[in-house]
Amino acid sequence: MSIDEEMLRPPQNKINPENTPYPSKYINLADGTKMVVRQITRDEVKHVIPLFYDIVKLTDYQYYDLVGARILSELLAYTNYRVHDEYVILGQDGNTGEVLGLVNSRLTVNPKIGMSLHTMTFKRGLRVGAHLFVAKMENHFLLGNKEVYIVAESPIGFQRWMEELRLEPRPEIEHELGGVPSYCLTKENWEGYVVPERLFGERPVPENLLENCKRKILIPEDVIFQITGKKKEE
Amino acid sequence: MREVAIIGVGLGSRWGRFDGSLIEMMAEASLDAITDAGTDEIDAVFVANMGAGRINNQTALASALIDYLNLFPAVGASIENGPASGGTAARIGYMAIASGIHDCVMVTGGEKMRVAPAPVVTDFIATMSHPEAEYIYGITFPSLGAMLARIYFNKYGVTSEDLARIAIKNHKNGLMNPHAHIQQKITMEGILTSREAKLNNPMIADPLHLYDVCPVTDGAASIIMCSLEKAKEISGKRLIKFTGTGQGMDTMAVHEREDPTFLKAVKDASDQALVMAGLKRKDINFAEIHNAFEILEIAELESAGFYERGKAHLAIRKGETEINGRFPVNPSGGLKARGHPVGATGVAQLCELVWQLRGEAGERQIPNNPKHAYAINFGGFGNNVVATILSKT
Repeated sequence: MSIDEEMLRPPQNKINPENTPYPSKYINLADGTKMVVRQITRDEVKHVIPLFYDIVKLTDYQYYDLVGARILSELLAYTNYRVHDEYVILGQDGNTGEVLGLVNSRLTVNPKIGMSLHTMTFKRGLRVGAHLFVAKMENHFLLGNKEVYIVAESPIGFQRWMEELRLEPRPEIEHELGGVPSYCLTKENWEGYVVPERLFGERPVPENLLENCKRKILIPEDVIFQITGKKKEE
Repeated sequence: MREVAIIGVGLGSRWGRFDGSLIEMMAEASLDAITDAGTDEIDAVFVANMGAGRINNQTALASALIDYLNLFPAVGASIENGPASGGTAARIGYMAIASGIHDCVMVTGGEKMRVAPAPVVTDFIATMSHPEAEYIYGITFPSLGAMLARIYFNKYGVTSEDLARIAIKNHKNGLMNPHAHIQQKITMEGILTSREAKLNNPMIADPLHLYDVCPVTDGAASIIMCSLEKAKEISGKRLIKFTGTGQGMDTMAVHEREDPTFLKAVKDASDQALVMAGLKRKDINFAEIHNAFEILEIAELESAGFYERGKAHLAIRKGETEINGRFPVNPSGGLKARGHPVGATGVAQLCELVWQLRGEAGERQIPNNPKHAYAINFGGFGNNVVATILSKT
């Protein structure tokens, strides 16, 4: 029996059928970098995937192996059309195109509820992850979600999202990342606290910065050093 | 009294997070200092540390270090004097040699703090505050720093921009220091004047932001001292003389001080060290200042008498404390960028003075051949302070 591969693909995106991308913006980081935040295409995701083959080897270090492996599977599923409604947002240095961090998420558990997947930072100490996480939440709410379910796989993630963003516990909801109890960012919390206190960035992105980022998705050479503080030879 | 020289210094690997044990970390710095000195004929070892008994579950550090490095028959003792443990241990090492009791002393400071969660570290530091008047009411050191900053803002017109300017300078210096924990450029726009600075540089204790306070760091530092006479026999390096030491005290509870912006212990320690060295303030070419909070860089410079009260921030605005300025401050990056493993800090300050005086500080070398250098190691919130002056021979 022959099977058409397209039969295996998920149905059309329910709340974003035209696949309108997240509106790009740029953010001033502490070191002066203009970080361009933009949604990337399936073809662009393929350029980023190799990063995670290194990261999954980081055993016993702040759950990077677990989170790296899950992101890797999510990106592979995205590029092979095996996941529904996923989107991937990159933070890139606007001058060099270097990848500073990545976030991904799924828009529709149902049209009102989104499911946050992962956040990973490759340039630490500049709050790249904090900015990118809020950007992916912004996309959920721009596209009409009323709530987003979120879990943390590391203590630092719990501190960053559950505590800093004052998320509501929803222990009755099993998050799709392992079925653990969810937390929730509600629209009320989004508008009342996160937007005024945590949502930053300017639009439009200057053309030259956007072009730099589209022209070259530069994979950081020192990602293991950035994560662990240890150079390769150590 | 015999004259004393520092003949070896070392900081081990880059500060930040150390995966081995506290003793391994201190041994690494000690071996660097021994290599630099060219001798391991050490009579005594003084180990500076504040909290290993609590956060590393280890005491008797001097015994452990001597054993680990097989420095027998050297004798040793551990010295705890809060964040001034390092300066205090160096002062005791000086006294041991000057008095003739020992010929060659190794002083090693170390603190392995990142094994503990942030609330534990904050609490462990807060145990230095007055137990009945401060600690039981929940005071933390960032809150003490914040109150000092607020008074400075109101009294002398210091601003958040002034504190950010100091942090930017120290991060710039830290980028040139291979041992520094924080090697990251920061900009005024990124940490203060842009909208997103609110997230990049959040408030820690109003008015102190994240970049106004030092990080939590693992690190160790070591110096080898001996009599000047012996140093001339065994050392092939330029000799650096331990010319002045002073120690000052103040009330434990900050609210009992007549003027909290005047750090009496800093003045007393500095006066003693300068008198002992036979120097005036104008003779000092640069300083390592204990800036656990950037406001302390201003307050200590003024209380030590290098600037008039209420004027240091104006000099900083003019760039006087930059490496190429009139009076360079914290060329190492200070506690802000090099890091602040509390027991190690006072020893690391002396390592930096030695490298600078020898002309071995690389990219961050202070120009014009500096001759006299000063360090202030600040214990408690200024209740127990050690000043040291080193000079070229």
